[in-house]
Formats: sequence, structure tokens, C-alpha cells
Amino acid sequence: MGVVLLGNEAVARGIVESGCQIATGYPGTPSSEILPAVEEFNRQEGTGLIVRWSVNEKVAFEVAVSAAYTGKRAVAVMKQVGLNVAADPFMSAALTSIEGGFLIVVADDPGPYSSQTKQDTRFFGMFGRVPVLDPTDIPEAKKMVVDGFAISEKFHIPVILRLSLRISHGRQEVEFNEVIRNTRKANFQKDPPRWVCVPRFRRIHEAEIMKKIKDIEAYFEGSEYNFVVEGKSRLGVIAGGLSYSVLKDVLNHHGIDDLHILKISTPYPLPVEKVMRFIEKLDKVLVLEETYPTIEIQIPDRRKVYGRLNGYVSTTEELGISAVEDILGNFLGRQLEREVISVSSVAKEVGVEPRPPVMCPGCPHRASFWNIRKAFPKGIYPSDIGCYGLGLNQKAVDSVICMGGGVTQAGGISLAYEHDGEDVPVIGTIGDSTFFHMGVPGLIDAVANNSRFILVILDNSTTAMTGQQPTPATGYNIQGKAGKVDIVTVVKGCGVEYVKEIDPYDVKGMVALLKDAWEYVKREGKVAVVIAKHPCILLGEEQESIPVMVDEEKCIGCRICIDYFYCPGLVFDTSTGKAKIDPYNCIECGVCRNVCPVGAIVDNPREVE
Amino acid sequence: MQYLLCGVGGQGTISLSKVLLEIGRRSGRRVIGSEIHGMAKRGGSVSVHVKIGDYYSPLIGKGMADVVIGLDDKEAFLSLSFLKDGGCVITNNTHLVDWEDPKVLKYLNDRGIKKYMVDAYKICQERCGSIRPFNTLVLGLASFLCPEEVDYSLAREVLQDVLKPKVVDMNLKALEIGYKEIGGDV
Repeated sequence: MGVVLLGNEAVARGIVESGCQIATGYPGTPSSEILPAVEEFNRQEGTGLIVRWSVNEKVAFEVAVSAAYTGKRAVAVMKQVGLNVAADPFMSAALTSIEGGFLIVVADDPGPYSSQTKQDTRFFGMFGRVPVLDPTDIPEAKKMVVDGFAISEKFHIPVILRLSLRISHGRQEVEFNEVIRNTRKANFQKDPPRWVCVPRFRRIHEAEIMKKIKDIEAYFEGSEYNFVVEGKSRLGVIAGGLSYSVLKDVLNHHGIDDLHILKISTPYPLPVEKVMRFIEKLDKVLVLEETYPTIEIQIPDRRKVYGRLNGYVSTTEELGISAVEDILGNFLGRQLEREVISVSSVAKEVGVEPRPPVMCPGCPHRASFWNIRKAFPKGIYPSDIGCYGLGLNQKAVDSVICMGGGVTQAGGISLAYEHDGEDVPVIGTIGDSTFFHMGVPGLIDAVANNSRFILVILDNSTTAMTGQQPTPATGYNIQGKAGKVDIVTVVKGCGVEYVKEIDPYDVKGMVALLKDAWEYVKREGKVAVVIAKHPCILLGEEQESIPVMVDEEKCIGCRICIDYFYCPGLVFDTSTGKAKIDPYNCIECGVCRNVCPVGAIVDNPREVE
Repeated sequence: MQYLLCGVGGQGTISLSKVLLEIGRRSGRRVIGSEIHGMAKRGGSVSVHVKIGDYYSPLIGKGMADVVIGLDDKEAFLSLSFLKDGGCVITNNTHLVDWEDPKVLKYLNDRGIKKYMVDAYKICQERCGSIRPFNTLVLGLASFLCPEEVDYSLAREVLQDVLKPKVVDMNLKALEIGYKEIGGDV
């Protein structure tokens, strides 16, 4: 009997069943549920895996691949942009003939729904010459974990299992298989020509990797993951991974059964012979794949091929049902998409607006951003990746580029003004987990180069946006108690002289502290760090409950609390033209009392005993 | 059957989808779904596509859902582009949309959409002693309206198996109210 699992849980089950021994990763949507589920199955099955959240993806990758050098089976888990962080070891690892199986599980986000890019990890695999498995559905993803380890060990090469949002956050029935009890011991064989990546060895490895990729291509020619569904017409579709499932639903819905289909779930290296044999007998072939033309670009003769490269598939949307209907309809010369009267125009007419992504009521970040804007209304606010990107709503986030960018962008922007001889307040923000992940080098750089900005570390004691994973400062890791790293000590260790902690709920105190920090920056010509410390509200720690109300007599309807504090607990009543508290959402943090310019948000006496 | 479930973070939209998928699985059908959440936590939009039957991809196209199930009426309303013409929307009434507005009525009428609203918060608070099982009450109504796909006795069985023992009775009661009373009324 099967069990309905989240895609990420199914992959985790595959990791445990396949006798993996070391699992590392860094959380990132849509990959975050994998490692906790690995630990859960590990505990249930007593498999003795070591499971760890690493400080970032580069570290996760290097730890796991090095364990594989000793012969252990290891996996590193991350989201697609996490692989950018791990790009350096990734590019090098493919050239090293690893010993134990090494699987890199990477979850793409083709929306994107929760990422800064919609990059295609299959393409990255091609760049790094690392074979890629691209599942069609969740059961296949689970099976590919086991086969991925086998391929890795057969060819002594890392293998990518490329997931995507709809696989990771999909749910489907999977079968549980027996768990392989892997007793393989660590046995690192000293062999510098194999493990040391100096140029003279790399010239040898270059020849080896070319041969390996050719061999793997031949192996994929016979893979059961790629198959042809014969049709009667002269038209065909090559569908990669999940796009095959979407295509199948579209064809079934419209009763189309005459197309030839080639499903490809080993996109790199592409089994070129199989693909060319398929194309040969047809007049036109459409290629459906998400998101780059990875399959397409490897097809040596593309004269009959219609895809992204010749602009035939030009959508920037996710290849969902409607997008595929649209593309396939064009290809077949008939309308497939239904005419649906969209609800959006009626919604606009009756004033029903979609909910924008918003910080939780009581979120300490909201208070921090309010305080930063209050202290420096004309400041420049670079920020970083995490919940605090939502500071955008409060007009207190001016730029976000990548993990760690909150520090270095503050450095670069302040440097540009410094070049003109000007001091403009630049206040970078970064979360605690992100600070550990990639903020530290930027801060050392700022100290070493006398950068003139304020860094606010938003310390909510967790990796919040991805679902409350522990940070190094908590003293816990996924399997329990672990080493503890103190943020203040790290900041001081980077050489920062001005380091102050404050609770951002203390609005007046933090505004004054930020102004003091700026005076220090101007006076000393050095970076200042303010740590805004208050636990994430979702951690559920006890805090004082302060019921509030809006004094309607005093409220002047200026909307400052609505537009700049941006809390779901505060709503604007269009009938009265005044703000009011939404008791369903308000968690009674009391911070908004400090926000109203006329003091109309006050303690609610009825509820104060 | 293709169901679009929607609600707001913290309401239990994903839990409801798991129950629905399990009902589908136990009735011997293929089940597949996918969920969107991420940017916002508490208070943000959550939507789940649930497909039960001969489907292979976890996505629903525009105008293809048979039923929209809402735990929040604004999210349900804004999801109507996914509903097929002649489909039905079943939602907890959170009173964020004026469903009697002539423009709304015309839209529903033009597309032949049937709507079933229930004040699930209020009813659960009064009858079950807590608003918590309101999503189960909505499930009960769905079970009445789609008896073949959302089999009532299977729904009872699944809830008994997946819920924590101390909340089972409360949820079975909410299911029953949704199925027998609210369903009986519409």
C-alpha cells in the first residue's frame, strides 16, 4: 500500500532507503522540507545517518562531497540559487573521481514563486559537466535518488537530482521500499593526483571527464527514464521531466492521441542518438522543457525543432496547463485554451484586492524597518534574502540582490557617495541566518576598508522564511544540541568596534541608537553594527500582551500606520476614513502605539485589567 | 475531479488538502496535488491544487477546476478564474467580499457558477466550542455536494486516522454539521 507524501518527503525517503550516510544542506524554498524528513525517516528506521544544516550551500556541498571522497554515500540539498553559492566546489568536483556516491539535490523554482531567479539547474549541470536526472513525477523522483547514487558510483562522478517546485511541493502516492543498511566505512585513500586540483592533474582529469560524459550519454541511451510514445501523425513533442506530465494531462483533456512523444528525464548528457532517431521520421518537433533550452541546445540538428531557441516557445510563465495548451495549440494550428472570463476585472470593480505577501502580525522586522525609516527618512536601504525582503511594503527596502548582499551593497552604495565626498546614511539589513551564511565576509571587508555604513542584523533567532530552521546561534542543529556561535562575538571578531544590541520593539530606543551609530560612522569613518534582537513571532515564545485600540476622535486618517507600518492587525475603515484594529489578526505586541503621529493608537482599557 | 483549495496561512488549507487526497487514495483513485506557499507565513495566501482521478500533473489550468473550496471568501473569489464554467464554489464566509453585489452576481451568473457559503467560524464556535474545526465543516459541505468523490464515511474514517485523538470528536461533529445540516439546507 502506498502513502501520499510531499515530493520533498518522498525524496527524503529515497535518501534513507538508498543507504545514504551523510546528508547536508541549507534551507531554501522549495527544498527546505527534505532534510528534516530525512532525519524523521532516519530516526524511524534507525539508519544512523548524520544529517546537518550547514552554514551555507558551499559548506554543505564541500562537507558532503569530501565525505564521498572517503567512500561514504553522501547528499547535499539546496535550492537552485543555493547552487550558485556552491558553484566553486561544484565546478571542480565533477573533475574529481569521487569514491562514494554523491548526489546533489537541487530544487528549482520556475515561477519564480519564492526566489530571485528562475534559473535552470539542468543547464548548470551541463556547464559543470555533471549528469542530471529530471523527474516527471514524485514516484520517479524517489526512484531517481536510488539510481542517482548508483550512477554516481558507477562513473565516479557527482549526480544532480533536479527537482522543481511542483515536484518538491507536490503530493502523490509513493511506495515504501526496503532500506539499504549501508555499513561502508570511511577509507580515505591518499592519492594526490586524484584529489588535488592543481593544473597538471587537471589536464589529465579533463580528458577523463570528456570520456565519462560520453559513457554516461551512452548509458542514458538505454535508460528507462526516457521513452517514446508512438503516434500516427508526422508531428512530435519532446517533453522534459515534469513537462511530460503536464503534456499528458493536456493531451488527455483534449483527446489528442496522434502525436509522437519522447519523454526525456536524463537531460544532461542528452541521449542524442535516441533524440535524433525520434526527430528523423517526423516533420516538426516541439520541445517542452522548464526553464532553459537545455535539451534543445544539445540537439545537433535543429532544423525541424520548435522551441525556445527559435522563439517558438517564448512564454516567461511557468509551463503549467494553460501555457502548454497555448504553445501546443499554436503548434497544432488549433485553439486548445478555454475562453475564461477572468475574475480580476470584476474584483477590481468591487474593490477586492489580492493579499500581498506580508510580514506576520507582531513580526520584529516590521518594528526594525519602521525604526530605520524613522531615524533616516532620506536613507538608502539595501537589504537581503529572507522575510525582511517584505520590508519593501514599508518602503524601507531599496534593493535586494542575493544572500549577503545586504552587507556588501551597503558597502558599495556608501562607497559611491564617499567617492563624491558625501555622507549619505546607508543602512544595510540582513537576517541572522543570512549573516552567518554570507554576511561575514562582507563585514570583514567593510572593516578592512573603512566602509561608512550601518549594518542592522535582524536577529530573530531562527531561519524564519523557510520554516524555522535553527541558526548557528541557537546551539541546536537538526539532530539536537550542537555548537553555539554568538553573533556579537562574531561581529567583534570581524573587527567591528561599534556593536550594540537592542529590542526593535523599543521604538524610541532603537531610533536613538541608530542615530548614535550614524554619528559614529561619520566621526570615525568606520562601519557600525546594530543587532535588532527579538524572537520570530512564529517561535511562539511568551511576550507581554498589550491590547490596543484606535481612538477615533484622535485618528486623523493619515494612513501612516497603514502604509508605513503595514501590519495585518491594522486596517483602514473606508466608511469612517480612520484606522482600526483587526482583532482577528492583531497579536497585541503594542508596537503600533509608537507609530501614530497624533497618538491615536492607545492601550485598550477594556482589556487591561 | 479537480479541486482548487484556497485560504490564508494558519487556516489549515494544506491539512484539508491532505485529508482530501487521502479520501481519494482510499477510494482507489489516482491522486496528485501541489501547493503554493512561501513568501508570506501567517496571513498570506495559500492555494493547493488537488486532482483526483486519471491525472498526471499536479497543476490545474485556468477554467478547469470542478470545485473551488475556500476557507476564506476573498481567496475563493479571487480563485474563480481557475473554476470551469458551470462549476461550484464552496466557501467559508469571512465577509470580505460582497457576494450580493450586482457585478459579482452577474459574473457568477454569466459563467453559471453555483456558490455555497457557510459561516463556518460562527457555527463551529457555537456548536463545537471552538472555531478550529471550521475547515472540516467546509469539508462536510463539500462531501454533501460531491457525495461520490468526497465520500462521507471515508471522510470520517480519514479524519479519525489522521487527527490527534483529542480533536477527533470535535472534527467529526463539524463534518456532520457541514454534511447533514448545512448540506441539507442548500
